[in-house]
Order: sequence, then C-alpha cells, then structure tokens
Amino acid sequence: MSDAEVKDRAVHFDPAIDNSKDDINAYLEGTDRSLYDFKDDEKDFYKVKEGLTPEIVDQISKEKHDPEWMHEFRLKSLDLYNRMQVPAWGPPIDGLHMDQIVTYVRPNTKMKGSWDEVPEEIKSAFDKLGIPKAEHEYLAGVGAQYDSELVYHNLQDFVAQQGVVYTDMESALTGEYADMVKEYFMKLVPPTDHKFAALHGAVWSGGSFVYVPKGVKVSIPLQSYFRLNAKGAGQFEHTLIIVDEGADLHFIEGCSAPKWNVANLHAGCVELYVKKNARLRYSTIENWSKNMYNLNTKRALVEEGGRMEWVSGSFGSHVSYLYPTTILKGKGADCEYTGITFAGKGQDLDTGTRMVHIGENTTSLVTTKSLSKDGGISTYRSAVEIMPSAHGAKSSVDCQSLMLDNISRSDTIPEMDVRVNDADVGHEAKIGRISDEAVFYLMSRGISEAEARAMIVSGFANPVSKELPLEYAAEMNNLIKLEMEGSMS
Amino acid sequence: MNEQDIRINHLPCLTWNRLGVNHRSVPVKSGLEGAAKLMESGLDQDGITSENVTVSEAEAYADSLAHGIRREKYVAGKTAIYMTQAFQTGLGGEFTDYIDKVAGDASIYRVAANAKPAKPVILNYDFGAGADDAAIHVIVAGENSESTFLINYRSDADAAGFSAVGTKVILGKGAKLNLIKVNLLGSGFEQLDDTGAVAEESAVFSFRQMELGGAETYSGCYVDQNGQKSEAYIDSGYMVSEDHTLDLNYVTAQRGKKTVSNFNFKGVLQDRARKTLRDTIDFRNGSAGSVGDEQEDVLLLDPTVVNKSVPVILCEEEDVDGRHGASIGRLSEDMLYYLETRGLSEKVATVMMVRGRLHSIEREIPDDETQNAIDAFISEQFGMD
Amino acid sequence: MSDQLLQVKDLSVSIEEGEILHDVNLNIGKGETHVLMGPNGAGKSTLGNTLMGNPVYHVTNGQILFDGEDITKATTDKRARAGMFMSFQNPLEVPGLSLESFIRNALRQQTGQPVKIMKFKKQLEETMELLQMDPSYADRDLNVGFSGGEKKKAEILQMLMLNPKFAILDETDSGLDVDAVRTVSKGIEEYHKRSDGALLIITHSTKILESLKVDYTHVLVKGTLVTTGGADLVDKINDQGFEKYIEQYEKEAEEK
Repeated sequence: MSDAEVKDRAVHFDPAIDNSKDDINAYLEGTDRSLYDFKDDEKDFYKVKEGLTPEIVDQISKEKHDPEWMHEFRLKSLDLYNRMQVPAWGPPIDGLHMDQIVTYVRPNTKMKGSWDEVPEEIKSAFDKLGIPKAEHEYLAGVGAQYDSELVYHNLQDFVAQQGVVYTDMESALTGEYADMVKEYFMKLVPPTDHKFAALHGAVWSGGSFVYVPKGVKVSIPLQSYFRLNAKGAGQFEHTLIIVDEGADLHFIEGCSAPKWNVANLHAGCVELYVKKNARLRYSTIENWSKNMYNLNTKRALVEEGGRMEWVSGSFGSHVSYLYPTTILKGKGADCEYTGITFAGKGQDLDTGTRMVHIGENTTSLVTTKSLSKDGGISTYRSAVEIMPSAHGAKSSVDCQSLMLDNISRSDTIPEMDVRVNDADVGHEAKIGRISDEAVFYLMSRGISEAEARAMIVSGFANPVSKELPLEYAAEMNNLIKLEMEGSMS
Repeated sequence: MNEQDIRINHLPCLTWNRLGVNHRSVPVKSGLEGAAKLMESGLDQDGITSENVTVSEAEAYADSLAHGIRREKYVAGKTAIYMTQAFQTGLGGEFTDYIDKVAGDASIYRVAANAKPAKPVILNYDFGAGADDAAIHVIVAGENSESTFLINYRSDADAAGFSAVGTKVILGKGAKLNLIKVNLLGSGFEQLDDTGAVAEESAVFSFRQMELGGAETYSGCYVDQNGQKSEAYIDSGYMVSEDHTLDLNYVTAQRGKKTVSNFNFKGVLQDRARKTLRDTIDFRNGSAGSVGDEQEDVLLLDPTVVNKSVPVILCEEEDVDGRHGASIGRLSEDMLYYLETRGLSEKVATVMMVRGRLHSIEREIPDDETQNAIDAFISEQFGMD
Repeated sequence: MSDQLLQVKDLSVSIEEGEILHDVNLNIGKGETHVLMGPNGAGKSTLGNTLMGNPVYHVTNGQILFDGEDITKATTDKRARAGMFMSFQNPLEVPGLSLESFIRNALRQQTGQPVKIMKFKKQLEETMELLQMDPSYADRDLNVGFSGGEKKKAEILQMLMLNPKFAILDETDSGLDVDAVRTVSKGIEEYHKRSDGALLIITHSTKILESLKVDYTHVLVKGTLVTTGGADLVDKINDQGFEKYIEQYEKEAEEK
C-alpha cells in the first residue's frame, strides 16, 4: 500500500466525530435504534462480496416455517447487511470470504428429546465432549446444536415443574411464548447494530429460548453446547433469555469446532433480559477451532436491582470480536464481568466489554486477564459509559496482560466516558511478563522451570477459573496447560 | 478568513467509532490576522543560539535530525493507523501541513553540547485584546546539555483569537530538556498546540503543560524514544470551565532498550466543560527492559461535564512493565468532611483541592512570574483569592 | 573434614555491573550451623542466591559441590530436589496459587510421588500451629497480602514441610518483632532437630541465634570472606561492629 493510500484510507475513517448524543437518546428511549454509525462513505472501504441473496433468505425462511413477521425481518436485515461495511477498527477479516460461506447447513436430522435418538456420528461428537454425561451429573438442562440446528434439547423434570421454559428458538417462535419472542427478538441487538448483526438477523438459525418465571430460582445451571462441524460453514444461533423479576439462573455456553482448512464463521447473537431484582450468570468457554471467525454479539439489559454476571473464556478462533455489553438501566442494577483471553499462534483475539450506566447507583466491576504467546495478538477493548442520569454510579476496571514471548502482541484500549460528576470511575491496567524472580522462587522449591511458568500462568488465570463450575474450571486449566506446553524452551 | 476542517489527535490504534475518540475534526483559519507580541528572554546565555528561518528550512532541518526514525504505516494486526509524518507529533500530519502553510517563518533554538544555561529560555506570546498567530519552533538540545524552555500564551481575560503552534524537539545523547507550555488565553480563543520530540540515547525529555485558558484547546505530544535508556516525562495540569473544550493526545513510542515513560495528568472540569484525553504507551519490539506508567486523576465539579479518557497500552515486547490507572469522579466525601471539620466551607475546600492538584504540576515551573500568573488565573476562575 | 555437605571452592560471582564475590571458600558439614555476617552490600545475599542458582548471578570462577556432586551449573530446581533450600529475604507473591497447593506441588516434584492428602494436611496444620500461623493462610494466595512476618513464617513453613538437607536463611529475622523472631527460631530449631539439617544463616542480629548452637561464623566484607570463627565471633561483632574487619580487608587489599 502506498503512503498516499495509507493516508487516504486513514483520513476517511470515522466520519462521525461525536454522535454520542444520539446514542444516549437511543439508550434512554429503549435500545431499538442504531447504536453504531454505519453510514460511512462506502468508497473507502473494501466491500465484502455478496454471498447472500433474497432468494437464499426466502428459502431459509420457508424451510424453517417462519411466521410472516420473521420472514420480513430477515429480508430487512439482509438489505441492511448488504448496505453496511465491515468494521474498520478491529483485527483484519480479509480471510473471511462471505461469498464462499454456506450460510445455512442443516444436519440430516430432526431435533430429539433423547440422546438415544440422536444419530450415531453426531452423538459420538458430543459424547467426546462429555455432554450427555454432564447432563446427568450437574446440569438442569442441555441443548446441543450441531451446525445450524439444535439436535437435542432436554430439561430436567423438576426444573420444568418450576415453570422454566427451555426450548429451541424455532419452537419458541410458534409455541406458547411466540408473543414474548416477537416482543424481545433482536430488540437489544438490532440488525442495524453492525454488519454481522444484520447478517445474523437475515440467516439466524437454531439457538435457545429460556424463560424463568418470577421468583423462580434455578438451582443448577442450564447449558447449551454449540458445535460447528461442516466445512466452511457459518453458525448463527440466537440465544434469548428472559429472567423475570426476582428469578435466578446460571446459563453455560460451550462452543467448539473441528479444524478445517477453510474459514468458518460464527455470528451468533445473545440477548439477555434481567428483570427487577433478578440475577443471571452467563458463562462461556469458547474453544472454536483456529480457523474460526468469531464475530459474536452479546448484550444484556438489567432492570432495577438486577444483577448480571459474565464469565467469559476465549481460547479458540482465528479472529474474535467479542464484547459482551451490559446496559444497566434500572436503579441499583449491577454487573460483574470476568474474562480471560489466551491468544496463541495465528490468533487475533479482540475481546473486552462495554458497560453502559443509565440508572442511579448502578455498579460495574470488570476483571480481565489476557495472555499472548507464539505470535498471538490479544487486545482488550472496552468502554465504560456513565450517562448523565447515572447519579452515584460506580465502575471499577482491572485488566492485566501477560506477554509470554516477544513475537506476540498485547494491546489495551479502554475508554471511559463520564457525564455526571457524582460517579466514581476507576481503572487499572498492567502489562508485563512472568517475573524471573518468581520463577526462581518456585524453582528453589524443586519445581521445574516449565512447571513454574505454568503454575504462574494458572495462578494468573485463577480469578477467572474460580468463577466457573468445577468441571469447566478443569477444562479451562487444561486448555491453558495445552497452550503452555510447547512454549517451553 | 475562511475556515476549513482538519483531523488531529489520532488515537494510535482505532477503537469503536461511536465513542468519538479516534480523532478530532477541528475548524482552522486559513488566513491569520494580527500577530501576537513575542517577548523572548534567556537567549543571551552562553551555549544558546537562535535564528529565524523559512518554514521549509525548519521542517527539513528537523526531519534531517530525526533521520533515525522509521516511517511507519501499520501496527501489526490493527486495521489502520494514522502515521504519515516523518517527524511525528501529537496533533498529526494534517496539522503539520496546515501550520506549514499559515506560519510566516520559523525559529530554530540550539543548546550547545554540554551547555547548562542557568536560566530558562522564555518565550512569551501576548495576544492582548485578541490576535491570530502561528509559530513554529525547532529546539535542538546538544549532547549532554541541560536546559529549560518555557512558552507562555496569554491575552486579556475576555479576548478572542486563534493560536497555532508547532514545536519539534530533538534531544541528542544524554541531553536533558524541560519544555513547559502554559496556556492562559482568554475565554474566546481557539488554540492548537502541537509537540513532537525525538530522544536519543540516555536523553531525558520532560514535558510540562498547563491548560487553563481558551475556549477550544487542542494539544498533543508525541515522543519518539529512539535511543536506549531515554526517558520521557509528561505532566499535564488542566482546568476546563463554561462550555469549553479540551482535546489531548499524548504518545510515547518506546523503541530503545530500558526506556522510561511516565504520564501524570491532573485535571478539573466544571460547568459544561468537555474534555478528551488519549494517552498511549507504545512498547515497540526491541524495547526490552522498558517501563511505562500513566496516571490520570480527574475531578468533576458539576453534573453537566463530559469527560472522556482513553489510556492505551500497545505492546509487542515481552520484557516490559506497563501500567495505567485512572480515577474519575468528585471530591471524596471523606476528604470534604475532613476539611470541613477544620472550619473550611465546601466551596473553599473544593478550591483548595483544585489548587492542590494543579499546583503539583505548576510548582516545577522555574519562573516565579509564570507561577504568579497561573495562581491569579485560577483565582479568577473561582472568583476568589 | 569428613562428611562434607557443601563445598564452595574459589567462587567468584558477577552480575551485569561487575564482580561481587571474589574467591570465596566455604565448607559446611552435615547438621552444622553456620552464620554469615557482614556489613550492608558485602555480598551475603549474593552468596545465598548463587548457591541456590539464581540466574541473575554468574559464576565466573570456582565450583560448588553439594553432597559430593558438582552443582555449579545445575538449575535451581535440581538443587532444590537435591536437598537445598533458601528462605528468601523478600519472598515473591504469586497471585492465584495457594500456599497449600504450592507446597503440595513442590513436594510432589521433589519426591516424584503423589502426595498423600490426609497425611499432608495433618502435617501442614501441625506445622502451621507450631509457627503460630492462622490456618486460613493455607488457602490464601502465596505471599499475596501477607505481612512481613507472615511471609517469613511461610518460608519456614515451606522449609519444615520440604525437609531439606541444607537451608540458607537469608535475613529471615529482618523486620520481625520479638515474638515473631522467637516463633521463627523455634521453627529453625525444629528443623534442626527433625532432620539434622545444616544451616547457613545470613543475619544482622543475634536474636535468631539465641536458641541455636552455632558451629561457625564467617565475616564477609566487600565480596571477600575475611575471617571465620566460632560462635563467640558473633558476640564479638555485636560488641565491636565490622570496622576492624573492614580495616583488615583494606590492608590486605593494599598488600595485594
């Protein structure tokens, strides 16, 4: 690229210098308006080739027996998708050829309520991941998605008897809760949000719908497991969870995919509604294969006295754009975000969070850890926004990065936007390496260098792993161990 | 006197557009009327020389001294970065292009190798009842020299006008240079104040800025820590009132081994003030053994202020230690209570705290007259002594 | 001397900035207690760290033998597994790693055997009680937020749990109040009693030595061992300070 081109390209980014006023209004009025500016001058961006046509979308809609409103919603989203640009600020996604992505892959089976009925090869894939076993032992319910469709869904009886609804999105669209789905679907993450939200709106398939009635406390976690098996495919599951007033839920999401030599795309969408005095914990261990473009959007809206807890581990993917966002709308709403990102060879993982404080006395607490190794790039990106209405809001961010060698990269790009004076906003960040002194200290007790380094890294990750159920913490530590092996000189 | 927009204060690494911090678009005058009065002192000392040159001579000279700097385009893994200058500055290339056009001439100041002039060199720009001016300085600190340059911008309290300043600093091996800029301009001023510095081995660049005046103020400083063991200290005190705007961009690019960078910001916002601060520590590959630290402490006095802070750390070297911290909010209740038990009213206590913050930056300015002027300016803002 | 455990022969040590130790010779037999004294900056900690294999310090000349084996080039973990231990002057903080799991891991590494949990827990509890440590410290992150005294006790706890043949105590008594010193020296006594372990105690004061039987005292000045004596040398230095030894060093240096 010539200097002139560099300059030209740079100059034309970000035409809207201060559209933040509109954003505040959008938040205050609800969240159904565009939150991102996507009207940038088109000529300066490379355009993704259109791999999607209205015909394809029509076909998806027909096969899925969408209600008419959903059919229209998809077409509208498609139109937006074709008009919007890919983001200019994050990791490159040039390797993602939209025209080559088979956006809809349907496994040759209908959804089952019993593992025995799930086809052998799919079952064995989930068996290897320990899903059925886990269900018996410590989960309230399990949903398993294979490529584009949910292949298995089950809820333990005692949870169902509490009135908890846990079903696949397709059934929810036409079932007892159809009106509720229509009321909430993509209202928190509108298709106008960004290009991949629009794509999601057009081709979404699969995912889960959860409704926890007022006052119901689900004592053990629900889990969805997503596996993308088809080569060069996209997965666009939609997760909609409504935790009604005073209710309590822990939801676990796991993701994996085998490695193909062509790019896969995951553009899921998670919308979480935490009503008055309700609590929701949403835990994710993401271990997509390292050719995955993970462009996932997650957002939560928290009402008065509600509490949202995110626990997020990012280990897989080639490229990730992942920033779970929490809108603290009600008075005293509270959010805690705990995340870890481990970027190894060939990975460019751009993760972080956004906290939007609207209600009085809202609080947010962010703790993140990131690691970079073998040329991996990890970026922590965040925004804490304190709106003028958020009197007495408190926010505290602590992000730590560990560089494991000098061919990798680690960036920290936080933003704080404070528009009221009686808020208390704190931010701490630290970047560094494993201290030689600490390694020597551990070695002086007879521990090998490799083991000492691994122990220090596990300790570094501990604040995140201790937030996970034991089985998942073990899985995470295992992933860290795998990543650390081979880095030893 | 037409106006045009230029883009300045680019964040070295893009983030979400909607935050409005990736850069700033500002209007600038294409023709300037009525220059400010310049009073210089301290130039008669041994080891200090100055000369007036054309703008292109000054730029070419600065570029030639900054020859060690690689021209950069992209940071690995990030989509775009705005770095088209050979000699990087805080405000960026469009500002350099602009000021090169509007400034009539430029000044080069040289400090001879090993010279240690006792007094600071002081440049006082007095805009009086109102004026437009643009100035370009190139400051060359010879090897192992030690010197201080103080640049004051002042006008009558209610005056309006426009000021654009570009300062490029080259520090030779072991040179120590303090550059101090104090903005006490009237409430109708737009000021763009740009600084770029290149620090060679073991050089120590200390940049101190007081941003107290003006309606719209845009400042930036980019320090290229090319030499090993070079050190950069950036201390900035600011106070923004009424519906004024302050937009800041500071970057230290740490390339050499064992370099040190330290940012310290103390700010106060009141009324409907708007402020954006971008401060970036950029650890480049090869900067092993380097440390960087940035701290911002902002006091918000009114519920109508807007404060944006973007403390960035970019890192492509393992053996570094980088930290940043920010604390944004009002005076702590405990502190206020403590001061009230000593018989101070809330208002007086608040002013005391504001003064304390700004004073921590101000007290290192080695010129009594300037310190007095700052004190008087702050008193006037709060309507008390 | 027979039964030598540690032999240091003509040891010279450098860091980036220059040589710190010059031609140091030192022999420590099984079960012996040695005290190393000297003014600030003499290189006492350097000697301790070099014996333990801290990579910051480079051996430029000489040899270190432990149990008859040349360990001059051995990595730190190998030395520890051979039975060496050092109580750090400034123990490092390791967030996320609990004191208990750290000791358990270290034991497993040293013995190569899985640790029997119940037995281990019991021993840990008893040892912590001996050292008057609150049992809750076992679950806390290693040294994180520990007071100076608790850190030093945690070092002695590790020593007692790992049971080395030879322990270097680097200023273990510095910054401790009287009670803590007493507790720590009780721990050292216990170690001595339990396993007939040898000790090299680097110290400024004598409080920690009161209940121990000192076999030898060495004085280090500017990187050189200037004199070696018995237990009485400790008292002598306490009365007279290091001045005499500094003068002696300077005189010898001049003569050279």
